Amino acid sequence: MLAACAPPLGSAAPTADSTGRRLALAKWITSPDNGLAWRVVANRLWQHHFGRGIVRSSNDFGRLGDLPTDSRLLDWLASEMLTRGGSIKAMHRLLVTSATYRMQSSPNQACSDVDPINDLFWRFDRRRLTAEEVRDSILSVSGALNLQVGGPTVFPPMPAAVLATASRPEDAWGKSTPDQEVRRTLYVHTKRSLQMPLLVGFDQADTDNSCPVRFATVQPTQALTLWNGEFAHQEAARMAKRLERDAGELDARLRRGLELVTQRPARDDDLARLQQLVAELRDEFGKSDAEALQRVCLVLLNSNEFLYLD
Amino acid sequence: MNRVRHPSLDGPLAPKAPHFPPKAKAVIFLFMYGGPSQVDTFDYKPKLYPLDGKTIEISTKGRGGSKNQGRVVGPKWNFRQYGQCGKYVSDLFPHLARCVDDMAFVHSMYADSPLHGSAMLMMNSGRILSGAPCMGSWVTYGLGSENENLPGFVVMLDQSGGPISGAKNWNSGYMPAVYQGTVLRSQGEPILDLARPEGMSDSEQRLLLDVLKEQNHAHLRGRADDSNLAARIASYELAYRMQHHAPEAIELAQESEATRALYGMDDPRTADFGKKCLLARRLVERGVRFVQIYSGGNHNDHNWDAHGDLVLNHEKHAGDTDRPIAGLLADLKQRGLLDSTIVVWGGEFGRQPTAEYAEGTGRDHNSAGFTMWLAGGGIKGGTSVGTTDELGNEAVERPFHVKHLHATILHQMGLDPNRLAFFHAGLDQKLVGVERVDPIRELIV
Repeated sequence: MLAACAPPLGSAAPTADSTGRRLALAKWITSPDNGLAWRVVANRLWQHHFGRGIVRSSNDFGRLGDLPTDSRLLDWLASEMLTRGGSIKAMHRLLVTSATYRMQSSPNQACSDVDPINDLFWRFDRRRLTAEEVRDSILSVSGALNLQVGGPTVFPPMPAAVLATASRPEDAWGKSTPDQEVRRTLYVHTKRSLQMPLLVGFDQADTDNSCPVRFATVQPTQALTLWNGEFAHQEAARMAKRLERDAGELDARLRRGLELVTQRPARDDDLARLQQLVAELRDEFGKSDAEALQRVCLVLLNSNEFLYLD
Repeated sequence: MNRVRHPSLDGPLAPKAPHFPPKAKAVIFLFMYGGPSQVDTFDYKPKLYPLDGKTIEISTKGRGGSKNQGRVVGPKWNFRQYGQCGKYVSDLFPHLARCVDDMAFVHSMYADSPLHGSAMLMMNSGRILSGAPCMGSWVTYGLGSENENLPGFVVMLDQSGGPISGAKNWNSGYMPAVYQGTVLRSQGEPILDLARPEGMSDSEQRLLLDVLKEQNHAHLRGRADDSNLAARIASYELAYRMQHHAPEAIELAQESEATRALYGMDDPRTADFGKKCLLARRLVERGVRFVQIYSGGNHNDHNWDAHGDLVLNHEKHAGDTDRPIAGLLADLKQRGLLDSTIVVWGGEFGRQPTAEYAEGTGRDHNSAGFTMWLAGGGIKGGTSVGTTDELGNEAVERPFHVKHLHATILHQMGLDPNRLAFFHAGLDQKLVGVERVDPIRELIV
């Protein structure tokens, strides 16, 4: 059982070049007797795998925070982490190989009646992709994503209309080479006063505050960005080219597109819908096969199944 | 106290009941970025004229640091009395001067910072550090929007660019991004990504949207308990409607020549700001809660920051905006909208009575005393509240902090400034801060 109260702070052991005070503080925080720190870390790990913490207010375990939805689970995880030598990797393994992690997100009336907001994790909460995941996933299915690791931050194109809102528009944002523009969003330059509209729109964290939990809003402006925005159209075109490379026949290309965005075998009704769309774009709007395929990709990149994880 | 821990995310902009019956339904904030000089505009200081050129003992604090003496720059314009209230207004504002009976002046404003970046944030969000939601965010958070086809908080920037710190001045900080201000352009595509891409007709778009909808409905089967999925389907229809409504809101074809002239749109000099003022009226008519228009952007003399040549600077910015603002007040009044719309005018601070440099008429920043005015929305016209000292340097009588101005605006909108809170980082955060702040009672009818 973990202690409820923090242990007394040990005394510092000065050395020739240090007062040893920070080390004493670090040892005190991570002391096996300090249950709070282990619970906080275990809760954080859980939050990032399961979508929310066992304590929902993961920045606040104090009086103004939320109570754990399952205090025994949290205590057990904290103890396990101690037992595993504080290894975060071991904790990831424990969490992602658990039965709870493998639960479906499908509804169950009997469970909903008892626990409507899923406090007890009887299912996996469906979630929208985060802002970074939205951009990375689009680049991934279009085939453009550059998975290079490390290095300086990059500057994907910023819409001119957004640059114009800066007090020095010409100096407000940098420029990266085409292969660097498509790096993972993790590497996109963070400027406090100028964030990419696609990312802000999908609830990227505010640049000024510690953000324990992201919002996941549903807004018409998100639809405008993904439907009309330059990035969406550019990547839809790129994805269409990719489908042309990946498969020969139109049907096979449509199937491939569906499979890329849904990560499951394409169903016949999905395919039929897209086949009909291509026919209409061709016959009624005079689009070439290549243009029609771009439109199909735009629709696919906007689909709920792409943006939400079951 | 209503604590919002996990704000409802279905329809965060749905109209919400105010705390008490509101006087105003909308705010139009005319932001004179850079800091207009109070003693050259609305704060009449006759004793300052004869001191022109004399060096006097005076305590000032600006971008040039703290000083204990300075060379007086006498006001560069004459003041005359106007209206029933007999308000003195400088010759910079011949049109606005005729509206003084509808305006209420606060001459004793003060703020925490005499530097643009932090002072802008304070005027917009109540704090000198970035990260807090702006007033427009608070108002839309507190009241929702009356028109879901338009953003609730709209910002129009100067042609020369945005203000310092850009989007931080209309950011929603720790609130969801839905409450952030939307930059509306008065020409071309009004809102980012609103227009269909080139080569896509309305009917083609409709076809694609219908296929998307079908696909999303197929996905919804077996997941119908998830309201987010349905909300996302609906958001595409909302976006589709916005594509029609937002351009309509900025389409001025139905406005008569007389109306355009009222706003100064017949003169190239005032046409741009006039158009923005007219757009503000159209947005307010359509239920937008908070409209902010910037006079001045970018740096130096592109805004009211008259460090060099005061006359050149203020003639330009006052000249560009005087007729449009007077037109806005008159138009709101003749349409019966002024009663329910608060118009706010001012910058992030004012300017010093003394010169910044050894030569010239430029004045440095001054956050110790400056003037703002309000009109409409239950604000008592023809009123003047508070004073600065006889040189216009510092608020002395009834000093009001920026948060009192904020409290007044929220109060007129039917929101209790001491109750409107958002729980963040262990605190019920408020626009006016945690300590009780009362509105400026003298301004209220």
